[in-house]
Amino acid sequence: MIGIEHFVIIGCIVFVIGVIGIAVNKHNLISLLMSIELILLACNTNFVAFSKLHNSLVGEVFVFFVLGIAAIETAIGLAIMVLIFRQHKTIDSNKFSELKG
Amino acid sequence: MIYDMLFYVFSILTISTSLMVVFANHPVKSALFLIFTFVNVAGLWMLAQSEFLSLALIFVYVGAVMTLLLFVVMMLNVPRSEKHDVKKSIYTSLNLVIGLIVVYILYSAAIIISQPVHIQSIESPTKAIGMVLYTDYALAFLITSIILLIGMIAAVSLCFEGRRSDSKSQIISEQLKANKASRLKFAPKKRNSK
Repeated sequence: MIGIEHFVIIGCIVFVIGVIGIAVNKHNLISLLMSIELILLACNTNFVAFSKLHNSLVGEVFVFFVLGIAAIETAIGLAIMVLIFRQHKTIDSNKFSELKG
Repeated sequence: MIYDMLFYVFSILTISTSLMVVFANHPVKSALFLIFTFVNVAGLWMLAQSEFLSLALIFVYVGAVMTLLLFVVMMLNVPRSEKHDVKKSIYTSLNLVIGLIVVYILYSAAIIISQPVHIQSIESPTKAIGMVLYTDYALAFLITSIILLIGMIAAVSLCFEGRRSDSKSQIISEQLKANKASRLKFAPKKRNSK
Protein backbone atom coordinates (compact mmCIF):
# COMPACT_ATOMS: atom_id res chain seq x y z
CA MET A 1 0.00 0.00 0.00
CA ILE A 2 1.40 3.35 -1.08
CA GLY A 3 0.96 5.94 1.65
CA ILE A 4 1.85 9.54 2.15
CA GLU A 5 5.38 8.76 3.29
CA HIS A 6 6.33 7.37 -0.13
CA PHE A 7 5.53 10.71 -1.75
CA VAL A 8 7.44 12.54 0.98
CA ILE A 9 10.47 10.32 0.41
CA ILE A 10 10.41 10.98 -3.34
CA GLY A 11 10.18 14.68 -2.49
CA CYS A 12 13.22 14.65 -0.25
CA ILE A 13 15.31 12.59 -2.68
CA VAL A 14 14.58 15.04 -5.51
CA PHE A 15 15.30 17.95 -3.14
CA VAL A 16 18.72 16.55 -2.27
CA ILE A 17 19.47 15.91 -5.96
CA GLY A 18 18.69 19.58 -6.62
CA VAL A 19 20.99 20.74 -3.80
CA ILE A 20 23.78 18.48 -5.11
CA GLY A 21 23.17 19.94 -8.57
CA ILE A 22 23.75 23.46 -7.23
CA ALA A 23 27.04 22.30 -5.70
CA VAL A 24 28.20 20.34 -8.77
CA ASN A 25 27.17 22.73 -11.57
CA LYS A 26 28.06 25.96 -9.84
CA HIS A 27 29.97 27.26 -12.86
CA ASN A 28 26.96 27.13 -15.19
CA LEU A 29 24.12 29.56 -14.53
CA ILE A 30 21.54 27.65 -16.60
CA SER A 31 22.22 24.44 -14.68
CA LEU A 32 21.81 26.42 -11.45
CA LEU A 33 18.36 27.59 -12.60
CA MET A 34 17.38 24.02 -13.48
CA SER A 35 18.53 22.77 -10.04
CA ILE A 36 16.38 25.46 -8.41
CA GLU A 37 13.45 24.18 -10.48
CA LEU A 38 14.09 20.67 -9.13
CA ILE A 39 14.13 21.96 -5.54
CA LEU A 40 10.85 23.83 -6.03
CA LEU A 41 9.34 20.71 -7.59
CA ALA A 42 10.33 18.63 -4.54
CA CYS A 43 8.78 21.20 -2.19
CA ASN A 44 5.59 21.17 -4.23
CA THR A 45 5.47 17.37 -4.03
CA ASN A 46 5.73 17.61 -0.25
CA PHE A 47 2.92 20.18 -0.19
CA VAL A 48 0.67 17.90 -2.26
CA ALA A 49 1.44 14.89 -0.06
CA PHE A 50 0.80 16.67 3.22
CA SER A 51 -2.38 18.30 1.97
CA LYS A 52 -3.60 14.77 1.23
CA LEU A 53 -2.50 13.66 4.70
CA HIS A 54 -4.45 16.40 6.46
CA ASN A 55 -7.27 16.15 3.92
CA SER A 56 -7.30 19.93 3.40
CA LEU A 57 -6.88 22.04 0.29
CA VAL A 58 -4.54 24.66 1.75
CA GLY A 59 -1.42 22.84 0.55
CA GLU A 60 -2.73 22.51 -2.98
CA VAL A 61 -3.64 26.20 -3.15
CA PHE A 62 -0.13 26.98 -1.93
CA VAL A 63 1.34 24.80 -4.69
CA PHE A 64 -0.69 26.84 -7.18
CA PHE A 65 0.89 30.07 -5.94
CA VAL A 66 4.37 28.54 -5.85
CA LEU A 67 3.99 27.45 -9.50
CA GLY A 68 3.14 31.00 -10.55
CA ILE A 69 5.97 32.60 -8.64
CA ALA A 70 8.47 29.98 -9.87
CA ALA A 71 7.46 30.64 -13.47
CA ILE A 72 8.09 34.36 -13.14
CA GLU A 73 11.35 33.70 -11.26
CA THR A 74 12.59 31.61 -14.18
CA ALA A 75 11.58 34.28 -16.69
CA ILE A 76 13.41 37.08 -14.85
CA GLY A 77 16.42 34.82 -14.25
CA LEU A 78 16.68 34.06 -17.96
CA ALA A 79 16.38 37.77 -18.79
CA ILE A 80 19.23 38.56 -16.41
CA MET A 81 21.21 35.70 -17.97
CA VAL A 82 20.75 37.14 -21.47
CA LEU A 83 21.98 40.52 -20.15
CA ILE A 84 25.05 38.87 -18.57
CA PHE A 85 25.78 37.04 -21.80
CA ARG A 86 25.60 40.30 -23.78
CA GLN A 87 27.96 41.99 -21.36
CA HIS A 88 30.55 39.24 -20.79
CA LYS A 89 30.04 36.80 -23.73
CA THR A 90 29.93 33.93 -21.21
CA ILE A 91 27.64 32.59 -18.49
CA ASP A 92 30.42 30.96 -16.47
CA SER A 93 29.84 32.30 -12.97
CA ASN A 94 33.59 32.29 -12.23
CA LYS A 95 34.27 34.73 -15.08
CA PHE A 96 32.25 37.72 -13.90
CA SER A 97 33.57 38.71 -10.52
CA GLU A 98 33.32 42.49 -10.42
CA LEU A 99 31.76 42.41 -6.98
CA LYS A 100 34.76 40.61 -5.49
CA GLY A 101 35.94 42.52 -2.43
CA MET B 1 -1.61 -3.39 -7.30
CA ILE B 2 -1.57 -1.36 -10.51
CA TYR B 3 -1.45 1.76 -8.35
CA ASP B 4 1.71 0.53 -6.58
CA MET B 5 3.34 -0.48 -9.84
CA LEU B 6 2.57 2.91 -11.43
CA PHE B 7 3.92 4.67 -8.37
CA TYR B 8 7.20 2.78 -8.49
CA VAL B 9 7.61 3.30 -12.25
CA PHE B 10 7.00 7.05 -11.93
CA SER B 11 9.23 7.44 -8.90
CA ILE B 12 12.16 5.50 -10.39
CA LEU B 13 11.88 7.52 -13.60
CA THR B 14 11.66 10.76 -11.60
CA ILE B 15 14.79 10.03 -9.60
CA SER B 16 16.84 8.79 -12.55
CA THR B 17 15.88 11.68 -14.82
CA SER B 18 16.56 14.25 -12.12
CA LEU B 19 20.00 12.68 -11.64
CA MET B 20 20.49 13.05 -15.39
CA VAL B 21 19.48 16.74 -15.14
CA VAL B 22 22.29 17.30 -12.70
CA PHE B 23 24.97 15.17 -14.34
CA ALA B 24 24.28 15.65 -18.07
CA ASN B 25 27.22 17.20 -19.88
CA HIS B 26 25.26 19.61 -22.06
CA PRO B 27 22.57 22.11 -20.94
CA VAL B 28 20.20 21.15 -23.76
CA LYS B 29 20.27 17.53 -22.62
CA SER B 30 19.63 18.49 -19.02
CA ALA B 31 16.75 20.77 -20.07
CA LEU B 32 15.15 17.89 -21.99
CA PHE B 33 15.61 15.59 -18.99
CA LEU B 34 14.06 18.28 -16.79
CA ILE B 35 10.97 18.19 -19.02
CA PHE B 36 10.81 14.42 -18.55
CA THR B 37 11.15 14.87 -14.77
CA PHE B 38 8.24 17.30 -14.76
CA VAL B 39 6.07 14.87 -16.71
CA ASN B 40 6.88 12.07 -14.26
CA VAL B 41 6.19 14.22 -11.21
CA ALA B 42 2.90 15.21 -12.82
CA GLY B 43 2.13 11.49 -12.97
CA LEU B 44 2.97 11.16 -9.28
CA TRP B 45 0.68 14.06 -8.40
CA MET B 46 -2.03 12.44 -10.50
CA LEU B 47 -1.59 9.31 -8.37
CA ALA B 48 -1.94 11.49 -5.26
CA GLN B 49 -5.32 12.57 -6.68
CA SER B 50 -4.54 16.21 -7.35
CA GLU B 51 -5.42 16.20 -11.03
CA PHE B 52 -5.71 19.94 -11.46
CA LEU B 53 -2.23 20.63 -10.15
CA SER B 54 -0.59 17.91 -12.21
CA LEU B 55 -2.17 19.20 -15.41
CA ALA B 56 -1.26 22.77 -14.42
CA LEU B 57 2.33 21.60 -13.91
CA ILE B 58 2.43 20.22 -17.45
CA PHE B 59 0.79 23.33 -18.93
CA VAL B 60 2.86 25.88 -17.04
CA TYR B 61 6.24 24.18 -16.95
CA VAL B 62 6.48 21.91 -19.98
CA GLY B 63 4.43 24.28 -22.11
CA ALA B 64 5.79 27.66 -21.15
CA VAL B 65 8.80 27.72 -18.86
CA MET B 66 10.80 24.91 -20.44
CA THR B 67 10.19 26.31 -23.93
CA LEU B 68 11.61 29.62 -22.73
CA LEU B 69 14.57 27.86 -21.11
CA LEU B 70 15.33 25.85 -24.26
CA PHE B 71 15.15 28.98 -26.40
CA VAL B 72 17.62 30.75 -24.12
CA VAL B 73 19.95 27.72 -24.00
CA MET B 74 20.01 27.52 -27.78
CA MET B 75 20.42 31.29 -28.14
CA LEU B 76 23.34 31.59 -25.74
CA ASN B 77 25.38 28.80 -27.40
CA VAL B 78 26.70 27.43 -24.12
CA PRO B 79 29.88 25.38 -24.50
CA ARG B 80 30.04 21.77 -23.41
CA SER B 81 31.25 21.47 -19.85
CA GLU B 82 34.77 20.20 -19.36
CA LYS B 83 35.72 16.74 -18.16
CA HIS B 84 35.51 16.36 -14.42
CA ASP B 85 38.97 16.36 -12.92
CA VAL B 86 40.00 14.51 -9.78
CA LYS B 87 39.40 17.37 -7.36
CA LYS B 88 35.93 17.93 -8.75
CA SER B 89 35.05 14.24 -8.46
CA ILE B 90 36.19 14.25 -4.82
CA TYR B 91 33.83 17.16 -4.20
CA THR B 92 31.06 15.30 -6.01
CA SER B 93 31.46 12.19 -3.88
CA LEU B 94 31.56 14.33 -0.73
CA ASN B 95 28.34 15.98 -1.86
CA LEU B 96 26.78 12.57 -2.45
CA VAL B 97 27.69 11.41 1.07
CA ILE B 98 26.24 14.56 2.64
CA GLY B 99 23.18 14.19 0.44
CA LEU B 100 22.62 10.60 1.59
CA ILE B 101 22.84 11.73 5.22
CA VAL B 102 20.27 14.46 4.54
CA VAL B 103 18.01 11.93 2.79
CA TYR B 104 18.21 9.66 5.84
CA ILE B 105 17.37 12.52 8.23
CA LEU B 106 14.44 13.68 6.12
CA TYR B 107 13.27 10.07 5.78
CA SER B 108 13.21 9.51 9.52
CA ALA B 109 11.43 12.86 9.98
CA ALA B 110 8.85 11.85 7.38
CA ILE B 111 8.28 8.52 9.12
CA ILE B 112 7.79 10.31 12.44
CA ILE B 113 5.49 12.98 11.02
CA SER B 114 3.27 10.97 8.75
CA GLN B 115 1.23 8.01 9.81
CA PRO B 116 0.11 6.01 6.79
CA VAL B 117 -3.51 6.86 6.15
CA HIS B 118 -5.78 5.84 3.35
CA ILE B 119 -6.08 8.57 0.72
CA GLN B 120 -9.66 9.79 0.72
CA SER B 121 -11.11 10.90 -2.56
CA ILE B 122 -12.92 14.21 -2.81
CA GLU B 123 -15.75 14.34 -5.30
CA SER B 124 -14.24 16.88 -7.69
CA PRO B 125 -10.85 18.20 -6.63
CA THR B 126 -10.77 20.92 -9.27
CA LYS B 127 -14.12 22.27 -8.16
CA ALA B 128 -13.01 22.19 -4.51
CA ILE B 129 -9.79 24.09 -5.31
CA GLY B 130 -11.78 26.65 -7.28
CA MET B 131 -14.21 27.13 -4.40
CA VAL B 132 -11.34 27.77 -1.98
CA LEU B 133 -9.25 29.84 -4.40
CA TYR B 134 -11.92 32.38 -5.28
CA THR B 135 -13.27 32.86 -1.76
CA ASP B 136 -10.71 32.44 1.00
CA TYR B 137 -7.62 33.14 -1.09
CA ALA B 138 -9.06 35.72 -3.51
CA LEU B 139 -6.70 38.47 -2.35
CA ALA B 140 -3.64 36.23 -2.68
CA PHE B 141 -4.82 35.18 -6.13
CA LEU B 142 -5.11 38.81 -7.24
CA ILE B 143 -1.69 39.62 -5.80
CA THR B 144 -0.23 36.67 -7.72
CA SER B 145 -1.67 38.03 -10.94
CA ILE B 146 -0.17 41.46 -10.24
CA ILE B 147 3.21 39.84 -9.51
CA LEU B 148 3.01 38.01 -12.83
CA LEU B 149 2.29 41.29 -14.62
CA ILE B 150 5.19 43.05 -12.87
CA GLY B 151 7.51 40.15 -13.67
CA MET B 152 6.53 40.26 -17.33
CA ILE B 153 7.22 44.00 -17.50
CA ALA B 154 10.54 43.45 -15.71
CA ALA B 155 11.67 40.66 -18.04
CA VAL B 156 10.77 42.65 -21.16
CA SER B 157 12.34 45.87 -19.93
CA LEU B 158 15.53 44.08 -18.89
CA CYS B 159 16.11 42.72 -22.39
CA PHE B 160 14.79 45.71 -24.35
CA GLU B 161 17.64 47.80 -25.72
CA GLY B 162 15.61 50.65 -27.12
CA ARG B 163 14.58 51.30 -30.69
CA ARG B 164 17.30 50.73 -33.25
CA SER B 165 18.12 53.61 -35.57
CA ASP B 166 17.88 51.55 -38.76
CA SER B 167 14.65 49.73 -38.00
CA LYS B 168 11.66 50.57 -40.19
CA SER B 169 8.74 51.40 -37.98
CA GLN B 170 5.84 53.76 -37.62
CA ILE B 171 6.58 57.00 -35.74
CA ILE B 172 3.20 58.22 -34.64
CA SER B 173 4.25 61.67 -33.44
CA GLU B 174 5.76 62.50 -36.82
CA GLN B 175 2.58 61.35 -38.51
CA LEU B 176 0.42 63.50 -36.30
CA LYS B 177 2.57 66.57 -36.94
CA ALA B 178 1.84 66.46 -40.67
CA ASN B 179 -0.59 69.04 -41.95
CA LYS B 180 -2.10 69.86 -45.30
CA ALA B 181 0.77 72.08 -46.46
CA SER B 182 3.36 69.34 -46.09
CA ARG B 183 1.36 66.82 -48.07
CA LEU B 184 -0.29 68.86 -50.84
CA LYS B 185 1.45 71.12 -53.33
CA PHE B 186 0.30 72.72 -56.50
CA ALA B 187 1.84 71.37 -59.64
CA PRO B 188 3.23 74.13 -61.88
CA LYS B 189 0.99 74.80 -64.80
CA LYS B 190 2.41 73.48 -68.06
CA ARG B 191 2.47 75.92 -70.88
CA ASN B 192 1.75 73.92 -74.04
CA SER B 193 -0.80 71.46 -72.86
CA LYS B 194 -3.86 70.98 -74.96
